[in-house]
Amino acid sequence: MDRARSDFKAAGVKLVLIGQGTPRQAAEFRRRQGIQLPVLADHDRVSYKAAGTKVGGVTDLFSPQTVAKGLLATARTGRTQTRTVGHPSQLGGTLVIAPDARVMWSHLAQDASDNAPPEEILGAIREAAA
Amino acid sequence: MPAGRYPRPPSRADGLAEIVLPDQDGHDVRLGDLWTDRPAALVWLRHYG
Repeated sequence: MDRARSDFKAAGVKLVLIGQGTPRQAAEFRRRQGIQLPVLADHDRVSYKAAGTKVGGVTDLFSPQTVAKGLLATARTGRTQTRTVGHPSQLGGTLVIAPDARVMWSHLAQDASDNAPPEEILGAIREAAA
Repeated sequence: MPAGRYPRPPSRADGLAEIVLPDQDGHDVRLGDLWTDRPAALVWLRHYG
């Protein structure tokens, strides 16, 4: 996602990451992953709840499909998952929000491998702006 | 947040706007300020890992 930040900027969209944990853990995550985007820290997962994200069950975290996608992502990016910080079953998601607070586009993960790629988010933004 | 609940996004972000979270440097950020003058893409990570 961080590699697409210039594309989001060119599209006129502010891109922000939110994670579970403390500011210190957010800073460590940025340093370790080489991320330049801002990373907010939501230790109590208040914004996760307000965004409608899902807390997964066992099959959402460890199904063969989820594991296979994780292995493919590792092969593609060279990055491996490190120790989990926060609620281990918490899933993520993306909301694109307009200046009038309308949610223009959304993708909330159905399982641990279900992440919207940046190009899909950008495509939706460009379509909404057209 | 019950386990296994089907995720359902809000149609509006009013419920998110007043939430204040610290950034990686400990500076408070009001979420509603992120989309005041242009759209914002907020990405909730599964975890820092």
